[in-house]
Amino acid sequence: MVDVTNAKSQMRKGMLEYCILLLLKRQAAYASDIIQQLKEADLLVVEGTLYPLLTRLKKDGLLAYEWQESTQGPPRKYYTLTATGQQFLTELDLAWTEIERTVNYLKQ
Amino acid sequence: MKKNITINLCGRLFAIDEDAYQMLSTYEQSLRNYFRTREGGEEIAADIEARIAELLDELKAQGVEAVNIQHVTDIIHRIGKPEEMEGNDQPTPDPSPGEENSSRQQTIGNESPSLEERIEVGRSPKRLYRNPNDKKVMGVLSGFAAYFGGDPLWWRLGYMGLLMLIWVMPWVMPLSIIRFLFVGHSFVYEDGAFFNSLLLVFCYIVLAVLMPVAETPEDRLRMKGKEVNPQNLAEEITSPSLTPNPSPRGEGSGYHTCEKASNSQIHSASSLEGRAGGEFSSGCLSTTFGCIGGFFSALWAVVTFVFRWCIYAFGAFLAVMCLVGIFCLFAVAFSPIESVFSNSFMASPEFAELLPTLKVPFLVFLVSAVLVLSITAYAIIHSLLNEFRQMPSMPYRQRITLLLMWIAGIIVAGSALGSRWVAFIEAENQYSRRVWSEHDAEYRAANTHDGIFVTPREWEFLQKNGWHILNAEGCNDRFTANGEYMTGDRDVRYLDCWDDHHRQRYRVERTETLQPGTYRLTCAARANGTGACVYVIVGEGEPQFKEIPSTGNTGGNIYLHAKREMARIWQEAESLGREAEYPEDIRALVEARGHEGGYGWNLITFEPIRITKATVLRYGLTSDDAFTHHTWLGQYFSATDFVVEQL
Repeated sequence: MVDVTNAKSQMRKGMLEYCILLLLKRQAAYASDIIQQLKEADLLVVEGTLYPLLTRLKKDGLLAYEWQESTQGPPRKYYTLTATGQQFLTELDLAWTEIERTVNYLKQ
Repeated sequence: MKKNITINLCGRLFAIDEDAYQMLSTYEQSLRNYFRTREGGEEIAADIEARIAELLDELKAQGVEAVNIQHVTDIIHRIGKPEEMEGNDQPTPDPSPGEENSSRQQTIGNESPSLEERIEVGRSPKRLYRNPNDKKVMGVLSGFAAYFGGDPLWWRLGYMGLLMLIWVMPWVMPLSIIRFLFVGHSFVYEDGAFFNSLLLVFCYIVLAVLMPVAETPEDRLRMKGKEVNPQNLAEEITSPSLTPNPSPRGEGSGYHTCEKASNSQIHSASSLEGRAGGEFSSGCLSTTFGCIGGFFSALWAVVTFVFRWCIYAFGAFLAVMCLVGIFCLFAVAFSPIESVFSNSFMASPEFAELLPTLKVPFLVFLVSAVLVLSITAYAIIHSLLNEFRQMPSMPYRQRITLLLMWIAGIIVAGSALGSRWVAFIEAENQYSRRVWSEHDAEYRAANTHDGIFVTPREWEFLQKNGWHILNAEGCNDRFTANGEYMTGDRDVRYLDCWDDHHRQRYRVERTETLQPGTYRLTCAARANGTGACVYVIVGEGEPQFKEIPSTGNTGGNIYLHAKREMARIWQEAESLGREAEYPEDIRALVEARGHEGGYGWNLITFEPIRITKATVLRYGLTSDDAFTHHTWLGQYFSATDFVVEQL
């Protein structure tokens, strides 16, 4: 049986990294904010998915974080996009445009 | 009342139930274990821990005083299993597990056992369950794979292979072997493949009925042979295709919708190991072979669909047959025995006399058979309803009870029937022997002529042809036969006598009154031994004997002559360059046994027979050594076509 849900999740997964970078480009954020937004966009099904991804992006030098005191509770990680991240994102933007064009073309 | 402890998570304090704490800590431990091996794993685990703290904070803000196990389950659900966080995750199609959990909690009321209970029950070893998370038909083979190891795909392929193997080699199957052992029947027989396949399908249904569905996380752990401990439970609980509460038994629509939901979950997202079938068809194959993979996956879907509905139909058929059987049993039980056996010898008082105690064991049989049939029908209907999500599955204990009752019922019914059956068969034998001996005596008396019993058909033949039996000693009540006449006509009757131990002293004679002249007698005869003769007696003179050549039932000079004649005609035609035309009688003789050599008939001639004054000519066939002074050494001899002609 062809599993639509599975195909959808594969698509989402591919986009997840790109979307996180986009979110952070707009505005630096806490992990919980990213989760909130991704969930609203229906891109995230299991919250835990985010953390290994953030760690990897940080390791690749695309992200950085600083500890920030929050109003209520312990200090939290505040993620920002690095210069490398910016550049990487630009490339991803190009790739995305290309994909979009291809898909649009095929859809006609 | 539950023990409550306080924990410190990322510098924040939370009041938490002890069981909830246990679950949370095992979850955290499993995260740490999972990410430990990779770079930055510690950090990931710490991040997630921070997230847990955040979520607990939210709960606190909502006014939750003490975190309980349900909260922890929700959180675990939300954050997900460690495997799911990685690339190879499966989606959890239920975006708000917390809500659903609580709704389920309501529908099932207080039926949900606490963690302690779950752990308590879980100390048992591996159990055989049907696997609802990875099923093609009813999850039996998947359950086997979980129990005995191996990939469900291979089990399925094996099963399908076995089904196909049956059609090629029916004798490999148990049913054939059973037949061979107990019935002594040849083990290759018609329809063997069909019945063996039915047996395999039947086995599947029996297994599907007997094996419970692994509905709860505990069941699934036991199915996989994992220990039921908090850590495994937490992992299992957070598995995407779960039904978080054990044995949902709620009534009405609440239950229904829950099950629908979980059903769709099952279909859309199966656990990692359960993806084998799907991957086989839609995954690796499609990427490797492109459209071929698509074809296979479509084929696979069709096959499983058809197979599943065959199983359903067969199950429904069995259930209906059980109900019909119950009805029939009652119909038999409450009607007088005469009406049941009307038009049969069993209705006769003589037979009833031979079988005096039918009633009591029959009642025992009736009760137990009805029990067995109703349990079977109930189990099948229950399974079908469960399959269509109309009914919760049967508890383990009920299953065992029913199974034991079923076996006991079969034993009681079987032995009651068995003992009665033996008596019945005996009575029937006795009865039929009596009836037959009476019948036989009557029949023999009516067909005995001059002290010799001859069947009406043979008597008619002998009368019509003027034959008189003078000696019938050792002839086995048979004086004529048909089937091996020289032209191959199977209906032609001829004189014939047979005894395996050559004890027959047959003498059959015909009389003709002849005017003076010269005559010739011809006949056709055969024998498979020496000592049988055709004879002629003129008036009161001495008999002349001619021994029938011992040709058995092939060849014989009549056949050989016809064959020679045919060859001659062929040669003649050949030399003239014409198509050979054979006379019909010659052709019939040669082809009597499909060119395989006739039936052994020989032409016997008495010539000349001189008659000086009007007298009687007696002639016939005999093996009577007192008459011929030859000893008969064979099993059979025949003669026919006696003709007396004037020369």
